Amino acid sequence: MSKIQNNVPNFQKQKPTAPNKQQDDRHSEIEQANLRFTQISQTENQTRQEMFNTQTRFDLLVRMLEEKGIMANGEFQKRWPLYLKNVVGVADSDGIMRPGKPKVTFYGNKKKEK
Amino acid sequence: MRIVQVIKDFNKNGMSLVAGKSYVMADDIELQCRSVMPSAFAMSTGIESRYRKYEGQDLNGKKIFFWRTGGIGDLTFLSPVVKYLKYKYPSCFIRVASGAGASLENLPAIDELYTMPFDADLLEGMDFHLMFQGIIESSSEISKVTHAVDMFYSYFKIDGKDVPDEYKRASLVYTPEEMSWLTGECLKIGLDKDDFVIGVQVETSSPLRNYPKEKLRAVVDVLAKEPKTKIVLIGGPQQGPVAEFIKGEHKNIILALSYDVRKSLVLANRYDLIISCDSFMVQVAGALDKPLVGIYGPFPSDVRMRYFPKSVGLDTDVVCAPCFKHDYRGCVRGFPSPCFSVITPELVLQAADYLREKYYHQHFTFMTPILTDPDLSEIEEYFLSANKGLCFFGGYFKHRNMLTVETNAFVGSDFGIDGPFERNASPFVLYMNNLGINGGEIYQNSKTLVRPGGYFAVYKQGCSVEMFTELVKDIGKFGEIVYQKLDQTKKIGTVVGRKK
Repeated sequence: MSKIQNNVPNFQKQKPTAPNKQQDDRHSEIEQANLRFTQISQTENQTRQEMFNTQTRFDLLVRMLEEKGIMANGEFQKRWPLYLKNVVGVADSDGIMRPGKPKVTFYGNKKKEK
Repeated sequence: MRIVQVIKDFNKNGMSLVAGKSYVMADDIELQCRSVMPSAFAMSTGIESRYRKYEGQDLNGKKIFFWRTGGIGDLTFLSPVVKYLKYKYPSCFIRVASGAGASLENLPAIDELYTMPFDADLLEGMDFHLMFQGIIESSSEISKVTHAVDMFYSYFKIDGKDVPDEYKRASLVYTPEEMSWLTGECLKIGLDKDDFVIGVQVETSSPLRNYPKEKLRAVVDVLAKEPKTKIVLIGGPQQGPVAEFIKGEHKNIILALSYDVRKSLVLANRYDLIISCDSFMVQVAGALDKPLVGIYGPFPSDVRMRYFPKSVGLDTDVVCAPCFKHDYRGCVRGFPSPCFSVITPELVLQAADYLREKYYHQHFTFMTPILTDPDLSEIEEYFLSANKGLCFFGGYFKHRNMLTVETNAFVGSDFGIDGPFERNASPFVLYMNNLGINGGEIYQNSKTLVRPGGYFAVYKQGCSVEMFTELVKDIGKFGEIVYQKLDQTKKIGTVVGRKK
């Protein structure tokens, strides 16, 4: 028999195995575990990147809060990124951007007691 | 909701199902279980054939069984309803099953409490059944204006308007063992008796409802510098990285991430103030009657906090809010969402201080510069030159010749930001840069309100040389500078300009 023939897998020798339910369960669990592991790794990477971005935003926010309200001549508008300022506008149904504002509600007593 | 036959013991995903029994579970839970271990389950059927729906009948002498999966906060809305049912029908028997029943434990009104999924045999022998799936998540028009507790009442065919207020707030009942655990745990984690303890919920279950992390850190950063104050960051183990980020280098911040839900509820007894976005901690604060700052974006705080008398709701007035979105993604309009972009850390801090002053009669020290009356003696002549001017960002400061404009909801003022000062006729305007809602925009607008010959004065605390120079330059364009002074030791800058 030649070497080439030896390397050919002998399908006839392989016995077909009966489907085993326990094995199925184990395979399914392994697949689930692999999937979970991949998901966790992805989430971790995402979280690391997010934390880095968030730290940068936090540093900027603190500096902005210190200077807020005193920047004149549009300097405040130029210096600080939009996502830190409190005027992120949303287009209304008429297409015009409307800046938002916060709303404070005092439950229990509607007006502050002086 | 399905009744699922179990043919092989199933002990996964925090569930323990016994072979040979049938269990009632939500459709999505059934799918999850089948994907984990398909061979453990046989056929499933709808619950309709065994479901005897409660339609508001008299429950005296009857047995009722109701159930719901869902979040801890959502289940907390159920407790006042159960209490009211028992009050109205004292002889009824109440059986409850829930996905996260920690908040319903020990409630005297509940005769039997089970966890979901539950044995389908429990349906037998009951006169009535009621399931609450989707009541909060449905986003129906009525749920947008109705408080969640009233929504639960409506499912029982009870009009929430007829129910006394005491049956609108959630109840939490603790055992003596739990309270003694609390005492020991406080000692263990370093919460002293005279500490002012602030509980801060780190995140919600949905990114859409989370207050931006960097803003929350700015809030916590300021609060952590307060004397005799401890901050407890509340969350689960999955919030570890976020909580570490918010904690920063502060030693008086404690991470409460490893407690189970029930222990978190017990620990909440020790909080003197709670700051939370739309999460279960809001309901816990309400149930325990704790001062609460609720930060809301996609949902209005009114439908969650209406019956909590010691609370302040921070909402937003932006075009897209409230959007009533209840999914597990971030905002489709980007980050940060327009609603949370308008809620500043200063606003949260002021709300916290408002509650502390109201219920503990003490301000935070970060409020000291705002509460101290400014020394305006050197420029007072300009304010007395004509009758009644306007004051923006006056905070707690009042002057006999000035009307204060509401730029800050937490202090009393003469009128709101929208009027009635649209005419350019004010003899003078004082602009003080305190903690407030809006900054640069109002500064620019308030200058235009001064009539010709009138004065525009700016008093700025924490003023650097650069800021002062910029301020003088800006007011110089507006008119003639009649007074300028920078106190470098106190870091207070004062500039007065006279309009041409």
